[in-house]
Amino acid sequence: MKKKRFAITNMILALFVLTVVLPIAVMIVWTVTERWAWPDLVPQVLSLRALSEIFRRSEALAKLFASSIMISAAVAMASVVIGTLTARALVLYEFWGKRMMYFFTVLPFMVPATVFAMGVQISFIKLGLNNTVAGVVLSHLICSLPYAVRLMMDGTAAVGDRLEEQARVLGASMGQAFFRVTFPLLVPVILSSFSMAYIVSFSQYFLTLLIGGGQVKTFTIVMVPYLQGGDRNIACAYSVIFLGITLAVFALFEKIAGRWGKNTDTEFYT
Amino acid sequence: MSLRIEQLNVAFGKTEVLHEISLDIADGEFVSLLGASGCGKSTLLKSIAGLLEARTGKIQIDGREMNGVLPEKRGTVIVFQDLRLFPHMTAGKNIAFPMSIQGIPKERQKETVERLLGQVQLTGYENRKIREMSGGQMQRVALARALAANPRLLLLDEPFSGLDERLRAEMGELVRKLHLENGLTTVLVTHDKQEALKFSDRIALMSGGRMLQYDTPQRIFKYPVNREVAEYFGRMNYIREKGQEIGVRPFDIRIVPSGNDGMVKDIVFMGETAEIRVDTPKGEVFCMLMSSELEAMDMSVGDRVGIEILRNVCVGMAKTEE
Amino acid sequence: MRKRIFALLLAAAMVLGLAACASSGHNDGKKSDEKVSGESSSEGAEDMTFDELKEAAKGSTVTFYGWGGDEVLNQWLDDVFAPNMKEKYDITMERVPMDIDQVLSQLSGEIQAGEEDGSIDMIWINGENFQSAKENNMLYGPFVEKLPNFEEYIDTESEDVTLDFAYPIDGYEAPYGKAQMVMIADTAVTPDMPKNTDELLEFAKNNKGKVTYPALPDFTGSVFVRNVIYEICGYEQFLDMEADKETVKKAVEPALEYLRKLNPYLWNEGKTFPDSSTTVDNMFADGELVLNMTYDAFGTSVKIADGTYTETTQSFQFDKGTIGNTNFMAIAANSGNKAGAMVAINEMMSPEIQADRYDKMKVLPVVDYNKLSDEQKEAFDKVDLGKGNIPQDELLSKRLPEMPAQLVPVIEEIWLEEVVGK
Repeated sequence: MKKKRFAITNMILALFVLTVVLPIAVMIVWTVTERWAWPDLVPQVLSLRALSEIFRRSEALAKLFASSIMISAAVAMASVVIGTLTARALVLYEFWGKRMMYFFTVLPFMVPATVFAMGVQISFIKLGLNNTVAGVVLSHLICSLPYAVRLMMDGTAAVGDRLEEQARVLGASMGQAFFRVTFPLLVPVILSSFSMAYIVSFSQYFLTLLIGGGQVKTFTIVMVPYLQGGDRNIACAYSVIFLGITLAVFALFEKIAGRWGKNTDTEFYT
Repeated sequence: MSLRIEQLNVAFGKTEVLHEISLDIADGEFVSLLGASGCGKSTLLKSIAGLLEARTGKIQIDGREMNGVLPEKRGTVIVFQDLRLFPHMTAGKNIAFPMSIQGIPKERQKETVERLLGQVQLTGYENRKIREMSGGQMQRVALARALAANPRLLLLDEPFSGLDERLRAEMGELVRKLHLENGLTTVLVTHDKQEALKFSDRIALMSGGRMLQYDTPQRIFKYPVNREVAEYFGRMNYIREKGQEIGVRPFDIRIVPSGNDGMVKDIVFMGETAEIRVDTPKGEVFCMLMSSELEAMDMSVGDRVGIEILRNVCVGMAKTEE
Repeated sequence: MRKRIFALLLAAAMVLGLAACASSGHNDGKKSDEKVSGESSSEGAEDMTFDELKEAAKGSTVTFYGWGGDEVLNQWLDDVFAPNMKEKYDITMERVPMDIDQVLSQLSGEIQAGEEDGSIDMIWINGENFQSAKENNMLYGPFVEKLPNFEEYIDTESEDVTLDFAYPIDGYEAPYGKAQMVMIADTAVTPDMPKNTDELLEFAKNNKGKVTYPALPDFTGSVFVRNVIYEICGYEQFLDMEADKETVKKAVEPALEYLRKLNPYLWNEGKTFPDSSTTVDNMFADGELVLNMTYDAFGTSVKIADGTYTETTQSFQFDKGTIGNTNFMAIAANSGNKAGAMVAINEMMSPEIQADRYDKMKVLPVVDYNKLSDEQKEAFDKVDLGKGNIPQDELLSKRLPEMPAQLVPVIEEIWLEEVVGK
């Protein structure tokens, strides 16, 4: 029995290596590869062309990253706030049209962005939101909110309002009850929905292109043409940077969330 | 702290959960809300605390109208059945929570936490995590936390229901002690009549969202307003006597071995007590007596015996005013 | 009650986020009023002389939308062309990498919404996309005859400049660069290059499973098939053929026959074809294929220099020639800076810029060599094309014109039905 379980873990591990680690490793090798013809196991021609070209653009890329991260962080922040409030409304309160509201919150799940993108674009042009950062953030929100709402609904349902009721009768106002009791307990879920919304926004190509009109530049907007262009080492170099930055940003979120969760306690016993 | 409830009606959507509840609690009183589960006791408690809104009726605390007053402004603290300790805080921080909300200096918070932990016999548990505590310990922390809020009115919603019998009794004693020591006004929700009879100054018996009777333990036992109340506190015999039906409790019937009112149908030995059923022309009579008495009588099934009614219960004739 | 209101408020906050989806703005009238009055630089660009245009465009920003998958070109636009424009005309160039389909979809969205101060100024375009954009009134023009460099250095009569896939340009786009299809093979692997379709068949037989072409409607796959059609059916008949499927099918039948004959020797036996020319490029570089093809006539030397291709790689043509076309620059009908766009397009056609593109990216220039001064000629002459390329005069002497744009999708459709897997 034990041996069998061991075999299954090994299989899962092998599958993980095959589907995640290996492609990433290959991608990293390709950043310095010009030619890697079949059937050789190692690349025939190596060069630093892709890296040096990217390095030459490092200043522009740094700016690009700063703006991409800001846009995605704004989207993630807004998603979490709206998601938390919406989840509270949907989970904890009864009101007319609740089912309909729920349906609308998950609608963008079912309908791909490409379907409603045109409508969004025309509406945003009329509202003067096209080619603006605000417009791009709003359009990303459409895609990221369903994830945030779904995740926050599960979190809110798990935490419930029991503890808040308790806090209220112990003298806490509505806000105090939320921020001192529910919020710290929601931090893990908030982190998940923040990350989810962030990554949805960060990797959003189509809507960014359409609503940003190419004027609002995110890293994805700049990267995708290289992926389509077939220049593999540059595409790989961009992908590796994308991966690295995303991981770094997530590590940072995790750290901030950890500290945040801690600070909410009254600390006089430490 | 006095509480006055007048003709309170509470509804969830279209279903009315509380009908015309009226209740008066004097300062320093210990009152039990007694009733089967689903009778509206907890709803009444939440209404008092302001967690539920009344459809009609009044709630007054110390003569002040509570309608529209937020829960945190009422000074009514609930200890819930499921305790609701904050899982991300230690025992000490749970207890300190109401004080930190009030902005009490940390030094004083710390002193109070230590004092309260002493009162609930948990000295030294400040830094204990909630999930590392036993059920009884969690009860005590919940009580201490409620006390830390300095409640005008302490509302206990079946807080001992999860405990075994010994611990339950112990906690009951503790609550009674805290009630007296701290000069509290306390409302205990329970479905256990023994608990209610034992601790309360007055008992409010509820059923189906209505208040059946509100009286002292002795009077509610002795002068139930109707059969439902009477039966809630124990088995009843209804015997026709002189064209009138009277209610008699099993212990208030004496078996007279020499008599000839009926035939012994069944004898059940229960340890300290015993149950005897006697078939009479007026119907089956159910009596209880001490086992030692039964032994002295030397009686067996089929014997003819006489029955004597020592005392009857005045069902429906209770006078609530003293 | 309070709670219920609160709940509704919460819900309303969320709806705001979604409202974007459903709302169709009501304030468009107001918006466009503001725009019209606030606009100055592009108003009346039609009546201005070039000098006036230069003056009007000073200090403005011109956006240039086009495919952004070529890092060398991107860098050239950012590091050479943009600083040059800034210095000479005080115009800021903003390159926006976007596929032409998306550019046109954004443009049509803006135009439908009545946006007058559009975000798109210059567009890199040609072929069917140009035809459909022009026919849908999405382009500004005619404007090319206004541009001094167009008149001065470009052979305005040549079909490379008057026709785009046989569709009359009418002054709605200016030439940007020339392309011509060539095939590529590694002489170390396959010493003999096929000079016609018969030899190509032999070549495929000898390298079974290692020859293919990108699945249509990929640009390169499409031009390869058209080239085969030219080889077998001749090209003249297509120049004025109407886009009727039956007519076209009848005309190309011998070529289809040939392509079907080729199938069994192709990669995956011609049951499927690689999805794009970039895939074929990569498969060729990886040695999985022995034949590649490209629109980028002189690109081989760049790739040899990078090390992507081996030193022995060589580009070649069929003896009867290969199809060449020109890619162009157009201006969006609702561009907010038409003056700036015209100045930029004019600059792009200058001999200096064209020579620099020829030198750095090996792009076939659009200027007419005979119209240049000796000094300017020298700038082109001294460019070293590097290894693996066909000499320019030979290449251009075997340049065949594109088919009418409307025939292209018809042929692509026929190919899908009659060739794939047959």
